[in-house]
Amino acid sequence: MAASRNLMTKGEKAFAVFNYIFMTLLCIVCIYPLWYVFVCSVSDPVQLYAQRGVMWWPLGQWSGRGYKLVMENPNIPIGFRNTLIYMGVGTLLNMTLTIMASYGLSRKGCYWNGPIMKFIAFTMYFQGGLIPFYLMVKAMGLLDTYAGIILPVAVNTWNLIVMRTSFAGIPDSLEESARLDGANDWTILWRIFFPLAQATIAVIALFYAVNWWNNWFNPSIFLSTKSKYPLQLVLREILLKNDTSSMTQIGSVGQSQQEQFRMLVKYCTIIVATVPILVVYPFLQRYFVKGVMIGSIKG
Amino acid sequence: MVAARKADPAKAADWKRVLIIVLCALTLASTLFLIQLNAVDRKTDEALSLTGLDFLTGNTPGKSAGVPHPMMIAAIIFAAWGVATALFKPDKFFYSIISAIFLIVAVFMFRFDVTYQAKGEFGLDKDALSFAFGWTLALVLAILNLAVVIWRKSERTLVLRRQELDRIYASANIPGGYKVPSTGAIIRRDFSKHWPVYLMVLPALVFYVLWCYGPMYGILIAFNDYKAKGGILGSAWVGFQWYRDFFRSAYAWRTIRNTLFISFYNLLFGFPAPIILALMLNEMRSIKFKRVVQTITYMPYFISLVVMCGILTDFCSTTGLFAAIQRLFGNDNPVNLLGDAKYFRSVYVGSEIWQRLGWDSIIYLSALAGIDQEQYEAATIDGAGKFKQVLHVTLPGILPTISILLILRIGALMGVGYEKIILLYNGLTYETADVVSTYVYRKGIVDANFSFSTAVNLFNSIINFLLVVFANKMSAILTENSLW
Repeated sequence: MAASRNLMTKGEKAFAVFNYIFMTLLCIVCIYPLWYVFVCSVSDPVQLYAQRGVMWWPLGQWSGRGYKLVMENPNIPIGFRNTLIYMGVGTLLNMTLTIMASYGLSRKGCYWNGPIMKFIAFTMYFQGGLIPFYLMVKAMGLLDTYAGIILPVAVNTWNLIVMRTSFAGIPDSLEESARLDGANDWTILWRIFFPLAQATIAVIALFYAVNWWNNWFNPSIFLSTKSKYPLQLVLREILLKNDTSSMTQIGSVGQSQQEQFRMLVKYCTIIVATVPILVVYPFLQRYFVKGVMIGSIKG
Repeated sequence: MVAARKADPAKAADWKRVLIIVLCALTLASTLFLIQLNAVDRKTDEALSLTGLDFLTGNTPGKSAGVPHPMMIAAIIFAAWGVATALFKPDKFFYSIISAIFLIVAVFMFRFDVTYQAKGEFGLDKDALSFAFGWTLALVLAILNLAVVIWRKSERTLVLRRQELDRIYASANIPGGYKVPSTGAIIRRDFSKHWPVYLMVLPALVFYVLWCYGPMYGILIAFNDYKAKGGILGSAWVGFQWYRDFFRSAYAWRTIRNTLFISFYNLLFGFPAPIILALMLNEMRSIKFKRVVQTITYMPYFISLVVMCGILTDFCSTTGLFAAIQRLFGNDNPVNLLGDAKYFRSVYVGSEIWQRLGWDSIIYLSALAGIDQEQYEAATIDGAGKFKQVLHVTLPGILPTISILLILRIGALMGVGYEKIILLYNGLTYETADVVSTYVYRKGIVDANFSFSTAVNLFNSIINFLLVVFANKMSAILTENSLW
């Protein structure tokens, strides 16, 4: 390393400098939008509404009034609660089905595993489409139910294939010796495969959980009761449909300040909805990166 | 023992033959019966002779349809196939049964679809199209049949191998003799041995049948005028009318063009960006700095789509950040970037890159880490500078990864993610933002025009499917890597 550093030519040095500058700028570009939102969220609403420039620091005195209004909006805690329900129950169901199926499908010498795998993989390339899917949910009587959000996406084919690949990589000898000791398939799965494939299982669970966190489209077509909305759907109402009425009405905010507070509330909502994931993300980053690698090996 | 075994299948074949022929005869008869029973001109309530078997059902026809019903053709093909199997290949019992099952399923699927909706006359207008649809289905069934034939052919090689085994075993003189199992026996044994495994797969299988293949059945509504009352099979068939409507409207060109443009721009700018980032990160000397850059550039990926679009709409508005930046550059009348069709693609592609850049570079970074360091040393000894090393060692090293990902992207060319567009577009930007899938969404979910929406979606799915197949073929030819 030291030797090669000495060998750097002028061009290489120039590139290295450029590289560091470019990367620093890139980091700023990646972070600044979030910083901007944060800065706005703690600014004074009146000054914020009037300003028209690029902001680096909160305007006026730091205030948490926006956050207070956000917390007063009952939809947001309900959204959080629902998302936790969808995430908890959904991920559990996802994982149960995915682990069981990938264990079964990774067993060698089963006559039907090949055809079943083809049957499953075909759905990655061809789907019924939006309306037939909707009609199916409707026919099952699952419109506007929690089950209607969770059941139709109970297995993700890509995750299933990744999991199966990882299970197939576990040496056969382990299974054979366990069988000699009288273990059945459930025991083998639970006692041998589960601990050995822990990392992959964690990654897949994480992917499912993130999907549930981001899920808004299916709920938006299947749900009509607001009390069942997941957080993302509540956010869509506030951020994209400008529906902040419920919160500005209840606050001690005068008519003239409605617009200003509406703007402030938007920024605060973004922060409230993003901070939980950004707080846990650095700890989970390792797993996510691993997940991308596993997925890239090919199913 | 050998002689005894030879006698067995012949005996078994007899009852199999009879069973298959009876099964085929029954299904054929019931098909014809059902067709004839329902063969009524809906407009005039007159009976039609579609099978020539009207004497069986008692509804004497007022006139003849003139063209045989596609279901009848399919039924006859299947029946013939089943009988032929029974007569000439009685040991292929299993596949004959499958064939018969296809037939029965087909009968039940089309049980309700055997009434014609002629406009008084059995003319060649709308009905010609619904007829074409029927024929297509018959064709699909025939293809399924062919698949069974091919499957059987591979089975035949299995039989040959078994015969060879027979010979080997016979020459080995194993005391007590031997018995090579039949296919049925293999399946039975497989099931009795592996049933716990299949039990584990079952829940997922039920999911796939219900939620992936169930909706595929619903695609049928692309060819009828779906009404909730009539259901999927009971609504009036319209053939390819929705396709004619779609392709004659201005939306067809607009949505297809937008889909291709957005995909193409995304490919053009979004594809090389993470490669460049990975290459630059790879050249960083300071591991710590590199880690920080990575962590920060991955971060946007974790902002949920809704929040991302919320931020974007806010930034793009005339009071937002982008307007402030425009003012910084001397534009006193900043435009709302999401309110002008001119800028939609740029905003879409730009934000897509912002969100995915770091994340997509992970895969290239791992490929870069896999390059043999000795190659760099060799290149240095040969006098190659840094730039030449990148050109001749690094790039060839990650080329397989690049080509696979490129092929995947090409395969997804018609499949622009509609979620983001639905969140971002509005009436002002439809001109450049409305892609096929958002049009499907608007027509289907917003306007409740189920059949039309499904028809457009089916068109899109088929193009998509062909693209994936094509991309995969190209990949197999060019890089010897394929997805299946």
